[in-house]
Amino acid sequence: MVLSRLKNLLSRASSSLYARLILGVMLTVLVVFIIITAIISNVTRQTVLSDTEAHVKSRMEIANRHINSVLVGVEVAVANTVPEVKEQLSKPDQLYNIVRRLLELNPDIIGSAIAFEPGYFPEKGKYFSPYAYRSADSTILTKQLGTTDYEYHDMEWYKMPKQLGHNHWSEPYFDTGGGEQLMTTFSYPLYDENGSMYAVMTADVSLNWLTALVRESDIDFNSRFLGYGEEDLIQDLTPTSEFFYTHAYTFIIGRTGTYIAHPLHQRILNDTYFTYVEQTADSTDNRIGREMILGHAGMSIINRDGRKFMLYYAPIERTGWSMATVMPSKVIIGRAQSFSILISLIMLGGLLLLFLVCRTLMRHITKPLWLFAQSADEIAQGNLTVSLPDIKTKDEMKHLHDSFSLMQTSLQHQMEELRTTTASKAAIESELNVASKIQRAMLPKIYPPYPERDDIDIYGQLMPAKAVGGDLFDFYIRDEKLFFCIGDVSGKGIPASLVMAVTKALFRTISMHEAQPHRIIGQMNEAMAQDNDSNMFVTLFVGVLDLPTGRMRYCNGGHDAPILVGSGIGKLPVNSNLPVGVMSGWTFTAQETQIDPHTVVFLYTDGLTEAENTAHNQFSEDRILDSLRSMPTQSRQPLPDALVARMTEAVKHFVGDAEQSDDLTMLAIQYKGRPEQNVRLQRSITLPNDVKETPRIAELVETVCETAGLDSTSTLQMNLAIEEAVVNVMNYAYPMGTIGTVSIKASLSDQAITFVISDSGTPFDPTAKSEADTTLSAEERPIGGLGIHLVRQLMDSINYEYTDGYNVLTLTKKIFKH
Amino acid sequence: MKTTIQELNGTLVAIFEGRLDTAASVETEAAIAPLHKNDGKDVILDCTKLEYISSSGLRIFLGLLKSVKLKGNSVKIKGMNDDLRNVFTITGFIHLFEFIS
Repeated sequence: MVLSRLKNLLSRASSSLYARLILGVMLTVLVVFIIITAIISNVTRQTVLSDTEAHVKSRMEIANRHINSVLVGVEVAVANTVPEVKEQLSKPDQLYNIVRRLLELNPDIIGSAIAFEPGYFPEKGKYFSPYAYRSADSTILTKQLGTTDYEYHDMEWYKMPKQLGHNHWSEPYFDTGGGEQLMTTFSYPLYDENGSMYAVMTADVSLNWLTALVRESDIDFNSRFLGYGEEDLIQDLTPTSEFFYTHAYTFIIGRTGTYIAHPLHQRILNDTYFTYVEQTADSTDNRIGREMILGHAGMSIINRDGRKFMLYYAPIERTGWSMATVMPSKVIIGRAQSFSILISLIMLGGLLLLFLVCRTLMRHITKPLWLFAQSADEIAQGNLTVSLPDIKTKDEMKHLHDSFSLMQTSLQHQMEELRTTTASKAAIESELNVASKIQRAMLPKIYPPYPERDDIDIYGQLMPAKAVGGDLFDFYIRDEKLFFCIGDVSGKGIPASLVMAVTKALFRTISMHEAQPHRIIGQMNEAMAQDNDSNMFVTLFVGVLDLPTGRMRYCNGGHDAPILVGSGIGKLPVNSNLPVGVMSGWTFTAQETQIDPHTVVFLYTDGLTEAENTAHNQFSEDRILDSLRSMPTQSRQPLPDALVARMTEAVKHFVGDAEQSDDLTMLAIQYKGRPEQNVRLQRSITLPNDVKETPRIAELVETVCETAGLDSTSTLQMNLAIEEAVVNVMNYAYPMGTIGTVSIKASLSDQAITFVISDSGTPFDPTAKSEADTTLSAEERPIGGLGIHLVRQLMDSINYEYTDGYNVLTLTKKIFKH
Repeated sequence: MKTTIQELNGTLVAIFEGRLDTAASVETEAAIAPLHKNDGKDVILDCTKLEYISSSGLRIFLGLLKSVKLKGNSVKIKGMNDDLRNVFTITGFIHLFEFIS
């Protein structure tokens, strides 16, 4: 849970400034805190240890002094009694009083004897040892100690001073004689003038108080330092008691290591220090034992059953004993630890307080930032007039507030500008769209364009690279001639599209009165080259296909040569002329060819040849020819739409994902030829070049119309049309004064009546005449121009060709069988 | 082609009979020349018996209309058959003249 909170805090720290600040501060403080705690713990530990050591030492010193004061007291008392003994040597029985008084004066002494050398007083026998002792009811009794049953001369307390030559404290022992108490005996040798020992004076001292002394000291220590109550130490102890692991205790050993004082009473005099330590693996114990016996002082850490103890030891003067205090390390260090824990808790409390203060403070400080962020979000969503947080301070927040405010104002201005710009851009774009629509509308777009005709089929397609482009194509039929063109304006976009529109309009306007392609292009060139400041030009191919005959006249102004797809596949030979609009006065050359029935003229712009794939390879003329050749044999003479579709597919496949870089335009024109007609009647007349001869036309027309079964109205109309056409020829082909003839050939088939009017006069194309305007008022109308208008109105088709030096005008009227 | 000019109640009436084709136009133009010169009189062209008219004939009619209108008088066409009326329609001349029966 703590871990998850920490994770939570860390994750928030990465997203919140104030969390990061708090985390930084808290981590720093935590580190400092840990260091301080470690130092304090260490110092505390050291202090506690040295404090404990000092206290233990002083306690041992006190105990030492106490013991010594008793022992010295005994020694002094004995020494002071010795002169008295010497004075009374002559009266041996007086010696009982001396020892009795010694006991009376010294409560610590519970028994005292003056043991003489064997036979020192001959009258007293071998053994003489006056002895005073305290009875069970504390009264002092005397008796003679030495008997054959009690051979004291061999006793340690007697032999030791005698042999050592000085006084001696015996090892403690249990008095089995009566007191059942722990005792030690002071032996003082007495010497005569000759320096020979004659007696040993003893004082028995009870050591029961020693155990009490040690016990009291331990209780005091345990309660003062370790916090135990007195009752904890008054209990029945066994060697395995928990007491030894939890409490401090003191023991005293004698010169051989025998316990003299120990909390476990049964050990006193019964066991030595070494009895137990030899069972343990720790050699420290042995060393400590030896040190203690040698009378050294010191401190050691010992290990008992995996627990550590501190052991202070010091010798007790005069006796050769050694005193040791054992303390469980854990308890001592526990004091230091509890102190450290206290410090830690205080620190933690401080840390928590710091955290809370920091958090509140940081929240307060960073709250404006949060509010600013909210404002910024609002602004980002377009609400530029959102109110900013109210900042009362004059610090960085105020600065931020001012900056935000400035940003708002500036954003509002910029948004306004952007809105204006976008609006005008949208207007331009919408105008571009309109322009594109207008441009598309300029192109023929209904296919098949002449469903009623069986001699021609056309399909055209323009794929613009941009919204408006510079490619164009156009076609229309006038007077049984197909006028068509394909072109590519230099450049792209709006300028190109404008030139394209002009080009197309010029083509229409000029070809309306001119059937010769080179002259159409020539006039277009003059119009476009003039004032061509922007140096725009058009590559243009113009063709005029005579539908009755299949003769195609064409002129190429720098455009790609069209491909003829018929019984074979090949490029149409083209002269190299300049593109249109480059140079005024350029003479364009005309070419012509015969288109066989079912042949397709395939025209295209360089958008096809130069279509690039992603590797920047171009589609090229070779691939166009390959695509055409690979068309299935049954559709070797394909329908124009199928051919364009196939080419579109081929180029799309080739280009792949590459972006179309240029307009791509294709135009396919299939000339299907004209079926042979079943001629039912043929009549012809030749008139001299004189309008007076024209009434003869009526005879011819009436004959044919009668055979065709036409009514009088139709006959009148046809008569009017033929007369007008012939008069026209007479007036224009043969200028005033010229002599010539006009021949009129009429033929009647099941479908139509055809009149072919031919003359050898000046080449003159009546179809190139502009249409008469029939809406003008009487004053405005010109006198002329009515004849050809009538012909157009009354006949179904009019076709002019100049062939082999003859003007040939063909007029056709369809007839319907009722 | 026969052209007759009469004056009836202050109105000049030209009566056309036959085919007014190109060949006849020169003759007819000469025949109606008096109509151009006569001032202050309206003109009626009686086409009841006119069988045919070519553009040359139409030109004559137009020329006459222009000169008469210039003097503030009117030219009316009388009794023209449907076939000829159709020619007038095609050429837009139907808007230029006033037709009476």
